Amino acid sequence: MQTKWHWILILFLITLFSSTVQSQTPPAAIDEVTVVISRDVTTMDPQVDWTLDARNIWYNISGYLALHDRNMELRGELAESWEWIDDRTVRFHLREGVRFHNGEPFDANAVKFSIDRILYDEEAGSPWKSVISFVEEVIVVDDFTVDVRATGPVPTLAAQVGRMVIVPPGYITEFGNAHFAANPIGTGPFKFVEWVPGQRVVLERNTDYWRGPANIERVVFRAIPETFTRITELLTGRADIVVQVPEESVDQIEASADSRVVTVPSMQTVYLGLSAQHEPLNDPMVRQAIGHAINVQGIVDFIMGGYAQPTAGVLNSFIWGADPNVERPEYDPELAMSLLAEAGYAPGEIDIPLTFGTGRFIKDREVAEAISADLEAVGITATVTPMEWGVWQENYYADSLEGLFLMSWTATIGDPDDIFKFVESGRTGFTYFSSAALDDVIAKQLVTPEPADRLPIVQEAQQLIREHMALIALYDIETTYGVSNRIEWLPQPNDFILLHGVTPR
Amino acid sequence: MLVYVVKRLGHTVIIILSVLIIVFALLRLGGDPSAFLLPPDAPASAREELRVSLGLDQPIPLQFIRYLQEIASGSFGDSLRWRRPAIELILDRVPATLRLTGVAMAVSLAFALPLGIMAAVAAHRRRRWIDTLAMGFVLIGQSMPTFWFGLMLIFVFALTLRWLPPSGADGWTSLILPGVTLGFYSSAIVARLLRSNVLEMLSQDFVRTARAKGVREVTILARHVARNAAIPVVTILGLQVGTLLGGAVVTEYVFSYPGIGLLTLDAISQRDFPIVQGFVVLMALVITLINLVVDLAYAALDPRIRY
Repeated sequence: MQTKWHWILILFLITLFSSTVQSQTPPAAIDEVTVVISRDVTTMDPQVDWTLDARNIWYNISGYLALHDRNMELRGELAESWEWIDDRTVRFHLREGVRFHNGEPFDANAVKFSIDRILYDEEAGSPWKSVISFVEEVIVVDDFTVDVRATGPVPTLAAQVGRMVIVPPGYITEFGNAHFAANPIGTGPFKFVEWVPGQRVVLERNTDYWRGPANIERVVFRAIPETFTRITELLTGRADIVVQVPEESVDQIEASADSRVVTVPSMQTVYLGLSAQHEPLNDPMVRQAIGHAINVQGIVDFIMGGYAQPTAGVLNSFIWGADPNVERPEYDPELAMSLLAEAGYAPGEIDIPLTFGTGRFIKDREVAEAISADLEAVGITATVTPMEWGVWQENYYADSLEGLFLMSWTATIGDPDDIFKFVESGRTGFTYFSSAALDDVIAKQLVTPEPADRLPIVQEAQQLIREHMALIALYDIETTYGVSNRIEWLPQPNDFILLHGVTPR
Repeated sequence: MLVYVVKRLGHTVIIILSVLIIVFALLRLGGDPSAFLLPPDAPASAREELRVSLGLDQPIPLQFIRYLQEIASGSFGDSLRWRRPAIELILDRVPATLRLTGVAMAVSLAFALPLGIMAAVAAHRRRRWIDTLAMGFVLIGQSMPTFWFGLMLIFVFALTLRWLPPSGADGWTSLILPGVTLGFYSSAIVARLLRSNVLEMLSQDFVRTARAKGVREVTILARHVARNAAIPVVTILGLQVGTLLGGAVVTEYVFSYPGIGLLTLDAISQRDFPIVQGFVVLMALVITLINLVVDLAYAALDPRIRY
């Protein structure tokens, strides 16, 4: 009799034990992924370091209301849906059942606290303050509904506020900003483990992430500014994702059995700006001539090695409202020469600098030289003048750049206003083109939130830019990453490295 | 002697001040941190506000006086991006750079001592080819830019042979490639100097006397020649510290080695003034003090020299 009870007891314990084992999360399919970025972060406060390299870390630790996905559609993360309830207020409906890494619940209070922290917390000192300064008030309607009211109609409200990182109110109130800046927590798929400044940031998987746990146990971010060293890390198997792979390294990476190159058309576009406030660029015919003189396809094919696309019109094709009817100026040196003659300039008479800040985009110097050569062929002397980035910026903001300048721009939230602001008088601080008509149209689209109403105005703005040749969009860059063949990962056009979706290959 | 030391310390202060003034002015004339502290989406008004809050709209001499006042009260200012005292950030990274510089000096001597002495002995004995070989090797070392040499080492030892890590600071293996890169150039200079000094010593009367007395060649080299040749070598080594620390910036960049060089390079490109200024003051202090120490050591080694 006793033996029988023993067996039943043992059977019972075995069942109990195996059920508890099964209810634990199985180990992740991938043990560790190392991501190599190009610049170090300077703080772990996700609302403070705004650089792209840093945001790649934040968006894996923290949550945000909404962010653009691979198709540049605004996808809800902590917000399930949102709508305009009047012409200047957006109501966000928040996801329920989400918790911060310390167990604190995510709710409307957390959203209000996070946005208020950016706007009003001087000690935290978030640089995003001026970017969302249009927010007048954040109103908690109920636990999972929050209204964001702006000072006026702001079409980009949802996208701008959506990408702000949500921080834990209880944790910060209890431990303070300084502690948070060294030990951040969020609602994201990975938890912060450690930060050794100058060396690495280590994250570990959050098994309670509301979308389900990631397939990676640990993530290590390392900053390596020198390109060759970065690529070597990939080729020796010490890194799994490496950013900013130059075209000449592509063959080497592809040839390796352990790694490959992954590209994605990005939001980054290279533009040629014209200081139309000065002679001779104040003459619209001269500007037109320049537009037609540049062989953009040649640049794309021979300098960018195909890792770029000529910009269709004036805006990167991922930008909302990009007008397919606005065409880029055709490469026609004959036309350019005749326009110049009509404007009264003899060949060789125009002598202007072509400046750019070095190190902002791949092959900057080669592209500048190609443009200079193209212009030389139609009788314009454009002297390539590289400047150290900080010095170029200094000149730019001091309104002292003359002639032509090359710049690259990433319209991160995919909104046309991001580009329009360059050609609106006085908005960026450097006015190199000024037209009252264009200013009016740009100002109008800025206060028309309803997409159906805004679209025609945005298209009109592009047409005007094209007519005046206020800004010449050259090509959209394809971002290249080096990726280890151990993992499957898809990049995004807005350059964010999101690791939740990574799977083993 | 004491008077001499005090005078030298006075010179040190003047030097540091001069360097600081130059760097302070150059930084402010060549760029604006507000452009790096705010996302590019920020409006121009926000940048202007930031400039004013950082005191950058003030004339440079006024800013400098305020900076001196800050130093007087014990602070080198807070890093604009890290939001922590600049001096703390710099001192945090100093041990790493010291390790690197230490390895570099060891590498430098490890190459220079045998090469220099061998070359000198060979030249003395009219065995031209050893001398030429050694000095040829040295010339190569002196002609190679640190940046390129570092990349070559990565290519050979990290990528092709997979013997050593290409970057970082995990363990002693990470110190090898950057240490060799940094030390190689310096070894060339030390080797050449050593060769010419040892060569000179070997034809001195006192050496011929020792030989005539039957003292073994090795002993002659070790005891008599070495001590005399050491004097200028110590001087050069001391001066090399400055070069090494400067070269560490490039080496640290190539290998992503987390020392003060990389910190400062990053700070320069982002116009983080307090870090760059703090670095400059620290470097000027270290270099001028080491020069002082070398001069005093000179006096200790050579009884003919007295201040």
